[in-house]
Amino acid sequence: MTDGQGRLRLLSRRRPRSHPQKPSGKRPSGKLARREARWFYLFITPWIIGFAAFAAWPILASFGLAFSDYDLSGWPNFIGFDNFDKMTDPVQGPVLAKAIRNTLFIALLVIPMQLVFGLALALLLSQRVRGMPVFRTAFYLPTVVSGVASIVVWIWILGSDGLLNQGLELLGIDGPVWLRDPATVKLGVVIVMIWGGTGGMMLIFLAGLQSLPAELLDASAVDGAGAVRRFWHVKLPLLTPQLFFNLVIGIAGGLGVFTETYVISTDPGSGSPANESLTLVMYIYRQLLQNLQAGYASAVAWVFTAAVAALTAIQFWTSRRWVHYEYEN
Amino acid sequence: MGAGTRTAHSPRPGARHGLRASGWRASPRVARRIALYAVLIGLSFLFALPFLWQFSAAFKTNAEIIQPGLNLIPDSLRLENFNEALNAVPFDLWFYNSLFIAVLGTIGATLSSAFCAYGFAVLRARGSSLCFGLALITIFIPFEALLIPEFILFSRLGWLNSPLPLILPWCFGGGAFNIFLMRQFFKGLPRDLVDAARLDGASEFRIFWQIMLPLTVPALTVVAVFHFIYLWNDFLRPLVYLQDLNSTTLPVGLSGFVSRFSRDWSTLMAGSVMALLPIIALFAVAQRFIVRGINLSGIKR
Repeated sequence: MTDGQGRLRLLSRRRPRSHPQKPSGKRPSGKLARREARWFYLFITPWIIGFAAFAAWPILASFGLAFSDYDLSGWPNFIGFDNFDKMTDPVQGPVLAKAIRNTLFIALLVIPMQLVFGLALALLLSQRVRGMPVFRTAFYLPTVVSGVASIVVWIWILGSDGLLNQGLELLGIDGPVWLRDPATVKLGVVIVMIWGGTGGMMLIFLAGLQSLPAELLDASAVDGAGAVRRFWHVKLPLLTPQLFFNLVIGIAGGLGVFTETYVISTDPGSGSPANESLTLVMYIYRQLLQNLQAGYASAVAWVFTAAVAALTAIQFWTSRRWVHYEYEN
Repeated sequence: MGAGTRTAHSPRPGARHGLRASGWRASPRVARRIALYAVLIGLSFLFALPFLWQFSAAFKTNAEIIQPGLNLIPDSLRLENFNEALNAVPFDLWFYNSLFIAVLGTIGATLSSAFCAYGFAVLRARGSSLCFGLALITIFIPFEALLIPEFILFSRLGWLNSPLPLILPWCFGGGAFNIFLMRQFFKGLPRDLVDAARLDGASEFRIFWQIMLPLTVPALTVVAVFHFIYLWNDFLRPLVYLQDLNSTTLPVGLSGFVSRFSRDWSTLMAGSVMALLPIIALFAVAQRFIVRGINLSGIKR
């Protein structure tokens, strides 16, 4: 995970062959080593308790619940695969399918746009701009305040006579009531999420751009590479660790979309209009707290978790091919 | 403007007697600079606009808000909006709950992640890489996967509508990502400090508390700032664990406020601005730590 100096290699698959502290002969042995090991386990005791109580146990319990019928009172009953059958039955099937479609629609629009805009803004700001902190703040502030208190403003901005439609009117376009129209509610959510998420990605790209080796950029400029070629062949390959990090975070965040869609509904959490803003996490929330179907909700949550875990694993797997860490070594 | 006049003569004052050609050769470069600033100013205005509009609307009357046009400067500063928001809903309670949870949760997460990270970074033992690997895996488990059993656990314990489920879990390890960040920082400190203190007979706990921890204040600040922002904006957890109107936090309270006051924009804007104030104040003070934190987190490598 780390190289000799303890630098981050979280995102790298390549690890040093031999850990500096591993070789069996070098490890302090006997009484001292046992004493140090005791202290080690004492220091990580809080983490062990937290891991057992708030990670390992819940994962196992939710696996058990996924095969149970449980209305939050008494004890769960084992019912085999009934909860998984329910996901495709005529009652729940279409609603769940819609929730999945909505979630994918939002995620597939939001994630690439956050990445592209975040990278574009970082490239603009990395050109020795005067007043850079001011611009950086303007782009990053939405990420800091991107909670309910900001989504509230967007309900007005995306309303019938809101700022967006006033702007569109100047262009001669008659805009919809974004968040109340089944055809546009997801686009409205996408706009809010791009506004809120781009700054965080920009900040990470910017940190990466500012740590690029100047020699390399200068050398490619001397060799006659234009700005476009320098971007595709020098900067972008060197930025792949940041791109990878943002992608992992972006996918988890995009598929987990909840706050935005919950708050913008006329009746919070209803998925209005016509379930067009119903997302997967909202569906799980609804099954748990409105229908008290903890077993079924767990089954859906497991499917969701498995999907996110599979996507994350695929990214780590493929990252060997396209994420470059050479420059560090 | 300044840049424009400068091109007419020479790019730099010192280059006055240099090549005449540099005057016209520089102008496309200057034009690019001007375009760059125009784009940056336009985009940053767009990004800041919702926020600027929200602040100005908090001081407007409802009639003024629905007037077409941008009108970022209100006709008069209507402070009654804030009173109305405070009187319409238990705003002060929500604010207090949010602050209580965010402050205690941040203290718990920061100290506990530093404590565990010291173990992972400095102390050697069999099984330490296994434990650290397990910790890293938990970074990628979505919270939604854990929500249902945790909800059942906390409701059985009778902790719903109390701040415990939102604070206590952070006191046990403080989140794997924070442990990871702190461990990186501890690893960067000179190990001689630990060895020298051991020779002097200091206990491991004293070495951590009196020697190493004070050196990690920059990293502690970064973890604390990010965690506070995270807890202040957290929505799903308080929504599930704090369903009682009086014991919930600002984001959950506000989300219910939206549907009830869907016509009363001025009150809603005043309320949401008050909800943003602590986080904006923190951001203003801690901005440089945030930027430093992104570098510290080492994603750049």
